[in-house]
Amino acid sequence: MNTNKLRNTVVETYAAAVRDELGAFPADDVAEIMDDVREHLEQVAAEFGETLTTPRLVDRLGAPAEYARELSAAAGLTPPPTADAATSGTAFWRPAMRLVTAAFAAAAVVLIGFAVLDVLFISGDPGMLLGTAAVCAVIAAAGAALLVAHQEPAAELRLIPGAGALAAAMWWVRGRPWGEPAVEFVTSLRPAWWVVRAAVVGIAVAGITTLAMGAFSFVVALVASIWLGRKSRAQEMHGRAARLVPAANVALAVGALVVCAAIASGARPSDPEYVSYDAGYQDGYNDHLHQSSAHRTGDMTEDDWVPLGNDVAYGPDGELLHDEDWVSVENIFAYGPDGELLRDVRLFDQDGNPIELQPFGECYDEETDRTLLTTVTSPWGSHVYPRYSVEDDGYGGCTEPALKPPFGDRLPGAAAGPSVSRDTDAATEPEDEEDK
Amino acid sequence: MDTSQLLKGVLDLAVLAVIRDADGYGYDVVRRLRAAGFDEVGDASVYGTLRRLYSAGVLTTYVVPSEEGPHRKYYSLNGPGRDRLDRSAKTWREFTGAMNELLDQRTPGEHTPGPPAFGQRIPGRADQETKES
Repeated sequence: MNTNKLRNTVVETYAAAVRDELGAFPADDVAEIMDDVREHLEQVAAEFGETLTTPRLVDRLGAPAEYARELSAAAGLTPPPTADAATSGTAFWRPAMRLVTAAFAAAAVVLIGFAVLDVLFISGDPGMLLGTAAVCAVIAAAGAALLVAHQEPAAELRLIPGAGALAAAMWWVRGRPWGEPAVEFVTSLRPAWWVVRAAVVGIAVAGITTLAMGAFSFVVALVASIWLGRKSRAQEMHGRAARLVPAANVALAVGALVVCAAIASGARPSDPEYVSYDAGYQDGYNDHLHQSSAHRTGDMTEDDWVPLGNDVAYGPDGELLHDEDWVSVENIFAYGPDGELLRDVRLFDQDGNPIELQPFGECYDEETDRTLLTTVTSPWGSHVYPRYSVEDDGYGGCTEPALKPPFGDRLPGAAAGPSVSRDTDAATEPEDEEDK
Repeated sequence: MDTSQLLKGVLDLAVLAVIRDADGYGYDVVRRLRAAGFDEVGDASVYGTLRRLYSAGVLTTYVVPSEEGPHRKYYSLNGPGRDRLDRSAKTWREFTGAMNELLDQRTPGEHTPGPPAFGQRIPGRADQETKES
C-alpha cells in the first residue's frame, strides 16, 4: 500500500516533468504520447518494485528533459509554428516580454540575496534593497501572468530564459541521493506555508485597517488556506483553479516581500524628536579612551586629535541625532543653573549607555594631507561634551581644536541661580585653561 | 565508433525485426532489443520510434488490459510494415555486405592485422557486426 503510493508519487512527478517538457508540441500528440509514457514508467517502476526512488529512475531513464528530447526526436515530432511567428506584432513583444520577466525575476532574487547578506553582515537596514526587490518581483510576476494568459502555462513559462535551467537544476537535485529527502523535507513544510500565507493576509489587513480586523482576517484566511492547501495537495484541483492557486501563491509571496520591505523601512525614525545614539561602538569608545590617556594632562595638540573614521560615523540603523530642521547635532553645550557653561559633562541614556554623537563634518588640511573631523571627541571619552571643534581656516588648513560655545561661557541674561558646587570638578579638567 | 550513433540509423529496422514474429508492447520491445545485444538503446527512443512507425501506418495497435498495473498497448506488423521490413532488410544486407567487403580488402603482402599495438580496441564495433550479421 505504502510502496504503491510512493511508486505513484515518483512516477507522477516524473511524468508531469516530461509532460511539461513536451509542452511545445501539439496537445493531441502530447496526450497520446503521455499515455505511452505512463505505461512505460509503470513498467519500469514495477521492475524496481519497492526499491524505486527518483534517483534510481533518473539513473535508469535520464532526467525528464533528456527523456522528452529523446522521445520527441525518435517520434519525429516537430514543434508547431508558434503564435509568435504567425503574427508579426507578437513575434517581437513576446520574446521581449519573456526577457524582461526573466531579468526582473533574476534581479529580485539577487536583491533578496543582498538584503539577507546586508542584514547578516552589513548595515542591518535592508529596507531599500527589499523595496527594490519587491518592485522587481511585482514586475516579474505581472510579466509571467501576462505571458501565461491564454496559453499553456508550462510550455509558455519554459520559454522564459533561465526557466529550463531551473527545471534541470531541480531534477539534478532530485537525482542526488540526498535530493529526495531534501525535496521531501521542503514538501513537508507545506502546512507551515499555509499558515504563513494566512498570516501575510492578516498582517496586510491589520496594516491597512485595524488590529482586530487583521486578526479576524487571519482566522478566515487560515481556514481557507488550509482547505485550499489540502485540496491542491490531494490534486483535486483541475483546470483554471489549479492554475490560479500557484498564481495566488506567487502574489502572496510578493506581498509578503512588500510587507517585509515596509516594516524594514518603517523602523527608521520619522519624527524629528527621535533621539538615537550608538551603543554598539562601546569598543571604539574604550579604544579611544585608552589611546588618549597619555594626553589627559597638557594641551591638546593636533596629534591628539583622534578623528573617528568614517566607518563609525553612523549608527547601525543609520540614525543621527538631529534638530527640528534635520540638521544633525554634532556637539552639545550644557549650561548649569547659574548660566555657566558646563565642561566635560558625561552623558548617558536611561540604560547607562554612553550617548555618543557621530561626528561627520570634515576639514581637509593641505599641509598634512589629512582630513579631520570638525568635531574632536574628548580624550575622556566620546560621550563627554562639549567637544572641541575644528574649522577650515580659509588658507587650506584647519584651525586648532577649540571650544566654540554658541552663547559663550555664560548664557546671556541668565540669572544667578542656586549655587552649584562644580568648582571642584572644574579643577580637574584638563582643558580648564582654555579661554574663550 | 559510437554504437548508439550507428543504432540511430537502424533503430526502425531493429524494432520492425523484433516484432516480426511476435507482437509486443513498448517495454517488451525495449527488453527484446536489449536481449538481442542492443544495450545502449534508450527506452524513450524505442517508444518514440514505435509511435512514429505507427503514425507512418506500418504498425497496428491493440490494447490488452493487464491484471496488474496499466493496460498494455501491443504493436504488430501490418502489410505495409512487412514490406517496409523486407525492403529495409535488403538495403541493410547490401550495405553491410559492401562495408564488410571494404574492410576485408587487403593490399597484397600485408599481413593480417592483429590488435593494434598502441591503438585502442574499439569494443563496440566487433560486437555490433557479429551480432547483426
